[in-house]
Amino acid sequence: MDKKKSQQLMISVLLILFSCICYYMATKFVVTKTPGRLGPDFWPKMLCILIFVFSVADIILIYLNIDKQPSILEAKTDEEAELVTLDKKYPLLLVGGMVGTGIYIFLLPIIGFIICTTFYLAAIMFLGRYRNKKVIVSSSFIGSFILLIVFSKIVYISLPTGIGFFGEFTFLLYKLLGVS
Amino acid sequence: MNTFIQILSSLGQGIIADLNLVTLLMILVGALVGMICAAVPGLTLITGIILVLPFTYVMDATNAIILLTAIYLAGTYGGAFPAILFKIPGDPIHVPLLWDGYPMARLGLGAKALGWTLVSTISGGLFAVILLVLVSAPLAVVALKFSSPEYFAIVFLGLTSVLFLGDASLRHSIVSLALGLLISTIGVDAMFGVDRFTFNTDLLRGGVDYLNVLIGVYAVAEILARMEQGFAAPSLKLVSKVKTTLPSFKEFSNLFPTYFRSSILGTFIGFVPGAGATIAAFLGYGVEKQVGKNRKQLGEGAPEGIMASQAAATSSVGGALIPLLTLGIPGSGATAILMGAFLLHGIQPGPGIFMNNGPLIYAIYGSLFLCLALMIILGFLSVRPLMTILKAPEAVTSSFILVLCMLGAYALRSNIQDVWILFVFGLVGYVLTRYNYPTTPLVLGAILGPLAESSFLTTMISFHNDWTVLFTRPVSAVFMILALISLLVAVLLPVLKRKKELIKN
Repeated sequence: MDKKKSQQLMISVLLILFSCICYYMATKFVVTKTPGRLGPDFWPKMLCILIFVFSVADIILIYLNIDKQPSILEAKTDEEAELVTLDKKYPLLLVGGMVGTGIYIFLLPIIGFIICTTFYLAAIMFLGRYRNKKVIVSSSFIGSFILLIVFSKIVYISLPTGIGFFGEFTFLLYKLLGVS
Repeated sequence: MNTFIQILSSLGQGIIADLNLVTLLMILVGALVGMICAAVPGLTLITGIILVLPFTYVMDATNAIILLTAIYLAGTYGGAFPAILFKIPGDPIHVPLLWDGYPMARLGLGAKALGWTLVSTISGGLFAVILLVLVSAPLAVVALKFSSPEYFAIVFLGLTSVLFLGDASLRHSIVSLALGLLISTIGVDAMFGVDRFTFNTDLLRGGVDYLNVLIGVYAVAEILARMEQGFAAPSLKLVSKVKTTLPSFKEFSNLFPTYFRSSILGTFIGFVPGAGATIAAFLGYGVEKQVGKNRKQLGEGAPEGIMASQAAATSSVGGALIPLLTLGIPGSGATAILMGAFLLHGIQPGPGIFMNNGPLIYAIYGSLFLCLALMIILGFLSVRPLMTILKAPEAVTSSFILVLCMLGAYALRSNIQDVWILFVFGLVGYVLTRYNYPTTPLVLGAILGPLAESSFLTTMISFHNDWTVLFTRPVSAVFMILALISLLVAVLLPVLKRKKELIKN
């Protein structure tokens, strides 16, 4: 069985597991049963059964080799074919982007918006294979400041300030920018 | 006749209300943002609406909705420029333009192709907006008589249509839809007050906001996918002059059948919950290829190809606003965000909106006409600057889009956990797309799930579990039958296609 089919099977198995877990959780809802009436567990259970049934069907069809995913050969026109062509992939960039975003969200309440976002913007631009350092540095700094001013002064949304030293730095910045 | 005069009078007042500096500025900014976001590959008109949404929190409701609606309308046009001039569709809506717009440009008629696109956009948009104005108020009066069976039937049609109109495997579409509906059950159940999938956390008790699902699955997942491709920007090789030349009225009148066919189809597709401008554009082109007088010339630079897809795409905007305003059911992903904007400003879309917020509605209608007029001017002036913006490095624009998406999620409840939820759905969207699970059903399920469940359970409770009531009440029967037909077609069409292939081989 080729790699793509194994991955497809794995996803279907995960979905089956997910639906079973959710179904089990639905049976544990604290429900006062009224005879003859559908309860709050009916709808989630029905959806879990749908996911289970169609994921099992997927597995069966993959094993029977009936399932045929749309391919470049089925493209109607050259333009369509070009659109579905697989470009060169950079999985490390993807992983880096995901990890970087996770770290950014984790550190936001700790370090504060302005410092965190400046570094995050620069990191994503650099990870995205852009190498003009002047543009990276200037746009990260200026962009973060502009976002801070717009969201704090115009849209009135209080952004994460950070804790300890970082919090004090953010408040000092707010004072300098006239943000109350 | 009286109703017609009343509608015209209200529309006139709406247009006059729009003729102030702030509102005109909102229409201009919305049109520009919509066109830019649709023109830049990697951004879409929905991303444009998502990015601007947090900025509307401090605005008054009228200007906020007008701004977002202008982005929606203009976004169906902006992506045409790179599609025709560079063979790069800025938005999925404009893929059909590669089939006739680009070939026309290659024949040295790029200015004419841009002109046909502009005329198709404006005329298709006008058709749908006029219909919207005339139909929505009377429909709202009828909708006041709708009960839970009718609402469930309409939502059921929307949920099945996304299975029928999508091009992914039916099994995967159903799984994706069921996942979206399941996500919408997270939180305290509105009917019984029961905690569902909350894990005893306060944040999940408030439910998962469908905006987080929408932004994560559409915007964040798309950027992750493009990051995996290294933000490989397509090379911009201009094939024609950057100019717009309008067709003559005689040339346009020759295409009246195409125009009316596509505009009616686009408006209807927009009306169906779950089907939006992209499906309208593809279907408009597909129908023209089947029944158009000049169908043999399609694919070789025929103006009918441009008119069919573009008129359908823009007219779907007016169509999508009809169920949003009259029933409170979003007709597309973009109108789902508009619904979010309404709710954030304390306005409940639905039949009562004409009674409670009549001036707001007609101000929105007026702004649509003004936006269309503005797009005529922008169609001539903005082509060259828009093409320059395309040269901005994608890594730079994408990094800002990611931050703006996270700010939008944070701004919902000023809670960092909403940003984590957004991130999770970004990962979910990426994984689903990678393994051929369509994301549109998931998003639609998350948006329509609460209404689908509540209307279904209310129907069962009110009619003592008698599900046949869905087929005995005339309005719900019509929608249920249409839904079942679309489901049947979705099941049978791949089987018939496979049989045809076997016979061919």
